[in-house]
Amino acid sequence: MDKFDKLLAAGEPVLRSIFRIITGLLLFQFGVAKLLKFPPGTMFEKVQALSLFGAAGMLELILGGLLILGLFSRLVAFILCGEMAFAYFIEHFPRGFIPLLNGGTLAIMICFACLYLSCAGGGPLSLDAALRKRTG
Amino acid sequence: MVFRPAACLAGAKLLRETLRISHGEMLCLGTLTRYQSSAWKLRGTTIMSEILAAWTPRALSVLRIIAGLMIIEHGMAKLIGFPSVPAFAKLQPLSLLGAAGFVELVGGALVIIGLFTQPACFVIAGEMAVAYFMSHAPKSFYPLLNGGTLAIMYCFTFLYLSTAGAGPWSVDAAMKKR
Repeated sequence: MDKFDKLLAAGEPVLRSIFRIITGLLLFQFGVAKLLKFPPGTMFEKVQALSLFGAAGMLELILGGLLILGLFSRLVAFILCGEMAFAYFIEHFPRGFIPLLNGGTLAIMICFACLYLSCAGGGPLSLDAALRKRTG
Repeated sequence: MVFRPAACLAGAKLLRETLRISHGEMLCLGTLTRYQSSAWKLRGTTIMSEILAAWTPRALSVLRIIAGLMIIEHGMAKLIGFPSVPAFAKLQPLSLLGAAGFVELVGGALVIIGLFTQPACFVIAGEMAVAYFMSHAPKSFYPLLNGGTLAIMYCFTFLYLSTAGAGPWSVDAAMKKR
């Protein structure tokens, strides 16, 4: 068991970057669906750009993009974490207490993933790391 | 450039007194100028990052506990019937979905308390990948349309947790200490 743990632990920094990229991509797709209406046929077809949903879409589009690139990862993840907590309490929580029934499981997962990423940073595969290397 | 923490600190203090701004405002300024000036490197880069980075191990434990709670919910809905989800009402325990529920229930419980975290997370990540490709991917390429966003999120969260371990608030950590 110990050997297996160590084998897995060797991949931690790279996996953190992959985790960040996937979280960013998933957020980005919500932003794209809300504002650019792609892919067509989602539940966000009727979202207005200048509404609460539109503002959320804007955050997801821009900050999700930055999270994919890994630029200002900590700050960006921190803001997204707040946005997702807000989304959960405004949109899902009034429907019921249990996340599985109010549909807020994804919001909770993304919220805590972003909270963790804001603490741990973007990992080695990020623009942050590249810039840090250049400026010394 | 030679890195002199004491000089940087003194410079930061002087600037703060000249501009008459609070520590909080200084923090914002420092974060904004992070990439512009290397003189700011110590306080600019790091006040926010340092505070956040210090919390990384605990945040890892929090992420693990939340992810475990979320996944055990699916297992409970499938096998115990609480919370009751109509789609799982007629589920047979000895079917593929029943097996998935078993993995989620047992794995989720292990992940919450943080026992054998790494292997448990690895198994759950694998299960989620199978779930995505079996029940979501055939519907559409886009996760938003095939409803598989949550499965992807689970898959990668648990894959990450399987490499990062359980963090300080866990049975694993308590056992290692003894």
